[in-house]
Formats: sequence, structure tokens, C-alpha cells
Amino acid sequence: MTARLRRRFTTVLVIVLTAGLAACGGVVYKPFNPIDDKRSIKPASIAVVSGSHRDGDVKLAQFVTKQLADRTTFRVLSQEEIGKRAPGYPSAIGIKKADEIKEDDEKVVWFVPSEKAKLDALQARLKVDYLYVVWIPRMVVVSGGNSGTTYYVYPAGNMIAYPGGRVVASTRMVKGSSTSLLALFRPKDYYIVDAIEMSAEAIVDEMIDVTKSKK
Amino acid sequence: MRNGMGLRAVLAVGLALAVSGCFNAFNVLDSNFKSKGRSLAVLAGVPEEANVAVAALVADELRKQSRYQIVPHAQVAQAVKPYPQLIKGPYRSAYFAIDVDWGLTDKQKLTALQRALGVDYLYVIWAPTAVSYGGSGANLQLVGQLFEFPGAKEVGHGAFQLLVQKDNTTYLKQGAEKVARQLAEETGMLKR
Repeated sequence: MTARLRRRFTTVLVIVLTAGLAACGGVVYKPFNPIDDKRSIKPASIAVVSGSHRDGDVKLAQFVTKQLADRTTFRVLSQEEIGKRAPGYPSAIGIKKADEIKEDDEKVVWFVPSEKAKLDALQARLKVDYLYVVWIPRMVVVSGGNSGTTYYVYPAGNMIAYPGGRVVASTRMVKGSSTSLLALFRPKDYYIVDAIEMSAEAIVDEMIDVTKSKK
Repeated sequence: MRNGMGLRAVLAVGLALAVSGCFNAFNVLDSNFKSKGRSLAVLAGVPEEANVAVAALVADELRKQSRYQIVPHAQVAQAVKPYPQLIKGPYRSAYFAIDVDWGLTDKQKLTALQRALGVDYLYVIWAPTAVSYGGSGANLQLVGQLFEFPGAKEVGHGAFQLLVQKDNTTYLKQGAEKVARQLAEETGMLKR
């Protein structure tokens, strides 16, 4: 590495938004990855649930819900309906710590095993065939150099099939959105929300591929 | 190069402020404010471990440093069911920073909680997000509001950061001490 390049790298400011000290996303890009390729996932009733009340998790659940309702044949429970049927929603579904997850694991079961009971109880209230629980345990903003500022989000998720409560799919990915000159005229959170929305699109693209559920 | 030095300086100042706990955690809205009652409960506005821990630490410090009669945190958890619970806080969003709007707090919910606790004042602390600068630990981003009852009148508020580190609560405790001191000072209730 040249001295000039080294200097340039040291000027980059990196800020990481963490969900407590929870797990990070790594470099795996699997927006929707079936755990067992031999078992099919068929379009049926589904509730996309936020893994916490944090803004990133809630926003991702909202975007995935909308994308699924608009683009697929899944019967999607709205976030309002989830809130009505499950008072206290969203409640925190504990996620594993970084050191409990292998860097290259493409089929991560994100939630702590002891949290499974919470998900089962939620499903009992929602009465859906699938629960898809999502988190954004890590967000990063990289600023500096000549490249402006880029906001990265690292969504995580698991789809659970009922009855049985088996984890049938996993989400592990990263998406980024970079500022432009228009940033001056845009809301403060525009780029982070944009990265979350792009993540939802990518998740639903893959879900459509896997489940053959295109409208 | 100059740009890079500027960024490093901003980062260094940010870290130094977070570590030293140099912040303005509480200001009264009316400089002539005089406390009418004595009893005060501190509540966590976000049902997460870190938020509850900060609320408990601030309550302990207020008991030591102020003339308020502080409801012990265990008693709060008994009177408020469930506790902690999410209380809509004074912010539009909370990603890397809290986008504050002091008027957004759910005062109806606070009034119900105050009835359960029977106190003159509620001090609610929200910690909706945490930011790390690449080192160990993270900066908890917080906002706090003090309300007077009856009426749920806002007495004062503040936005601040506290450094949380795994297995080291020193900075968190120091921060809680400062928050409690500022609240007691600003409301004229500091122990003499």
C-alpha cells in the first residue's frame, strides 16, 4: 500500500450503529436462503415481525411486509393487524452475539434458542403459516475521502414454518446507500432508510425466486 | 490531508466528550421553576437492558444527591406492569442519532404510569440507539424528560450520550452521577 493510499484510508471515519453489542452481519450476501433445499416453501399466510422496537428493525419489517403484499401471492398480515393481535408488539427477540456466529455461515439461526418460546407464542396469536422475523443488528456509516458518505445496513432474519416451528430460511446480507448532492434537500434519515428499503426489495426478490410466489 | 485531520479531530473530540461524560443532560424550561412536590420516579422509556440499567443508576444517584424522595427501582417494577414497557418518546427517529421532537412523548401513557406510582414527578429516560466508533463499547444515545403532575407538565429535558463498555460500568456510573446532579441542580433540589 502506498503512503498516499494509507493516509487516505486513515482519514475515513467509520461509525457503527450496534444493537447493544449484538452480532454483526459479516460479508455473506444471502437475502433469503432456504435452510433445506429439498423442502419447498410455498406461498401461504405470513407475518413479518420486527425483532425489536428499534427503528431499523421496525422499518425493515414494514418494507418487507409492503413488498410481499404488493409483489407476491403470500397472504400478508399488515403491521397494524400484528399490533392488534399481539399487544406489546414489537417486543425484543434476543439475537445471538457475534462470537456465536461463524463468519461464513450462510444459514444462520439468529435468535437465541431460549427466545423460540416467544416466537411460538407470537405465532399462536397471529395464526399464520410463516413467521419471518427480521433485525438489523448492525449499521455502519463510512464518511470521508472523495467518496462522500455511505450508509450500510446488515439485515438478519429467519423464516419459521408452523405448525412445528421449524426454521426454514435465513437472511444475512448487506446493502449500502451513498449520499449525493441531493442530500442537502433530503430528510436526515433518507439514505439509511433507502438502504433498508433496498434490503427489503432484495429479500423479496429472493423470496419470490425460492417460493415461486410472483403475483 | 487537512480534511483527514479535521475528521480525526472530530472523532477524537467526540470520543473524549463521551468518555469524560461532558454533556448537558438536563435543562429546565422555566428558569423560575420551583419544585412543588418531592416524590419522583425514574422510568426507562425503552424496554431494553441498557436503558433500564441507566434509569436505575440515575434513580440511585438522585437518591444520593437530591432532596427528591425517589421511588426505588424495584418498587417501580412492582407498581408498573409490565415494566419496562415501551413509552412513545420525544423523537421522530433514532438511527445514528436521535431526531428529537420534545412534543412527541405519549403523555397519556405517562399519566397512567404516574397514577400507578402516585408520584409528583416522572423522569423518563429513553435510550433508543447505540453507536460505536470502532473501538470497544458503544455510545448509548439518550434523551430524558421530567414531567410534573397533575397535568403532565414538562419541566425540563436533555439529550446526551453515555459510554457503555462490556464488563466495565465505570463510565456509565459516572455519567449517571452527572445526569442526576444536573437534574437536581437545575430544579433547585440539590442536597446541601
